[in-house]
Amino acid sequence: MLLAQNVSYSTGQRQLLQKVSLVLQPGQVLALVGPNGAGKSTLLKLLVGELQPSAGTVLMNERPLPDWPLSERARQRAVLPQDSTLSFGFTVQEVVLLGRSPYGSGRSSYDYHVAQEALAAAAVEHLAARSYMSLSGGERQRVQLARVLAQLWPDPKLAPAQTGLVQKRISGPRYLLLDEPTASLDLAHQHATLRQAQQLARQRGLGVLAVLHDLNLAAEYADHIALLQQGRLVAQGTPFEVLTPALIEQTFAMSAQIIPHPALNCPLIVPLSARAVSPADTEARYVQ
Amino acid sequence: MSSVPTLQQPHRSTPQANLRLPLPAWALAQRWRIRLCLALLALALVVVSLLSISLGPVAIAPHEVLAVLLSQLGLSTGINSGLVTPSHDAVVMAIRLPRTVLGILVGSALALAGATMQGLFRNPLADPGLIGVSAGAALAAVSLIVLGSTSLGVLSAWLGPFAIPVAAFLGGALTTLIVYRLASSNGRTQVATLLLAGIAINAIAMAGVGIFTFVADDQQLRSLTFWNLGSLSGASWPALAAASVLIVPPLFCLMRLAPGLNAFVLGEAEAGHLGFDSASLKRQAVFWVALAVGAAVGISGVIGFIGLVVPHLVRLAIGPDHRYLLPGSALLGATLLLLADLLARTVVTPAELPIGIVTALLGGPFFIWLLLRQRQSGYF
Repeated sequence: MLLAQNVSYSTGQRQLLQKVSLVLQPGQVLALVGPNGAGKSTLLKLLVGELQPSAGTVLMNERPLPDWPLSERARQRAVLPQDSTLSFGFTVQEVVLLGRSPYGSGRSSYDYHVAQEALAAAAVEHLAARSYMSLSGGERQRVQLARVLAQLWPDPKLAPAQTGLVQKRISGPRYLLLDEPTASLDLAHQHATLRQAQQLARQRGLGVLAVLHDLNLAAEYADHIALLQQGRLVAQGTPFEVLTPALIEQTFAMSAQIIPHPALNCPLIVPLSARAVSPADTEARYVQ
Repeated sequence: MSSVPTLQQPHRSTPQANLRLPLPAWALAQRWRIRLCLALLALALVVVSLLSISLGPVAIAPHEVLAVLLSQLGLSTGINSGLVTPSHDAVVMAIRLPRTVLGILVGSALALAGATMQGLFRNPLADPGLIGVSAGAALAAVSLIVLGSTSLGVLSAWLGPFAIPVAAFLGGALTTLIVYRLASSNGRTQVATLLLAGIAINAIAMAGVGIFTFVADDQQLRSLTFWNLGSLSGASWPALAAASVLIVPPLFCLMRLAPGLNAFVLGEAEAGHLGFDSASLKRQAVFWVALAVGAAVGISGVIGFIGLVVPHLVRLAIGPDHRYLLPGSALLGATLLLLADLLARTVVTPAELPIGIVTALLGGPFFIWLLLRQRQSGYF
């Protein structure tokens, strides 16, 4: 599992995260929700190893993150960035192939094969030969999804038959971290992306963490929800446990009614009215 | 999109079968196209090198050049022995060959450094001079020229003809170090700060060059012109030996950074997620570029536009993949610098134009054409 133990993070005067503990289980979708500036992206960066916590530790499969060699870490977990622009005009195929960089040259015939399958899985096969720069925001997002899928694609060199190599190259479950994966997508693709994340968790045992803004998407697709506010973890549990009128009122300054989803076994959040957000609420967290 | 996509099952074939999959057709076609382009670039470099050796005030036919080179390699045969005359041998070995080799070294260093900087800064307008190396080298050289008879005289006397190249190299390395320090805090280097610090340090160094230009006498001014506009006339075998020691290792080390630079195209954080050590990549790129460009500027002065334009040209032909872009840029940079030098020393014989004028005169309009052409496609 991917585990954050009492992690804090601060830059200068600003305490961005305070003693947050979080567990991401393999085979599970965990949604990270909270208002703007709650520390969701910072927590994601700590879990990925992009930032070092100022206190606390992050463990991946029982091993502290800094102890993982970089390339090994990259075979173990992939990160979908919030938005990605390229500095030079790679084609979609080449972008997806970059996802194979942690595996040797990343250009073996097997890597090309994986890139092809990842393109198909993200439903962007038809864009393969296009220049990435010429795509719309939503298309780019799906190409990036194909890239991270390629990064975590099962590798034949890791097949149980060749056990000698297995232990060296990959150890234990893998993780996929999505930073606002639905931000620039239309309705159908928002659901498709999260359904895909859910399938990856169910079928391949990936631990999936998604930073989400839409509480209803989180309710529908997440097994667990972690709610952050002002750098603190306010609640963690199943959608029914976390998405309560009281907690939503407290963190988002919104009154909302929770009703059972008419078709699915999850809560449906109906926002009612916004309490005026006072500037003090957002400023307060900078002063410790 | 007609249907909502669903996750495809991975192939159920055996691992062994997977490993022997054929490359897709597009990848094969791309691979061969890139190989062909690189081969053509290499061929062009060989042809232009021969031209560069054979053309000049004393014209020596290319087959005679080959005969001289073969006889120097101890491959004197019945076929070529009759073609080698002592005077041609002297011209080739003492003047043209060292100059050509210097052109190849400097041209490939500038272009390869340019391609690396554009990849590192994720900006198609980056240039090897951006991290302050050229301006720092020029400032050091210029101050030695102007103050050489005074306080720094000891250095000049000790190093002889190498005083200026060595000072230039040290100046370039020192400025780069300052720029790099300015952009780093807590062990992290901000690429945007690196760029801005480079611009500021460049401006300060150029102001220094301006002050020395202002106080210089007439003879010193002629030497200063050399520094600001560049020339390959400083070629000699000892100078070449020193330059190649400083330039050749960085070229190979920079080419090894290609996979990391490819990941950098996605972004710095993304490169980290893919398992590349971004911090180390930045450090290595800046270090090797400072070494190669510092040495190049040290021996041949400031030559503009090669580092900026050549990578764009190569990208047009073979695409942005740094594994091919870097060697391609080195080949084309060498070729174009030799052509520019050929023009510089033949257009106004017996005098010689500074090579920087030629590269700027040809490179500037060409770059504008490139801008206009690529404006439609939405990227550089």
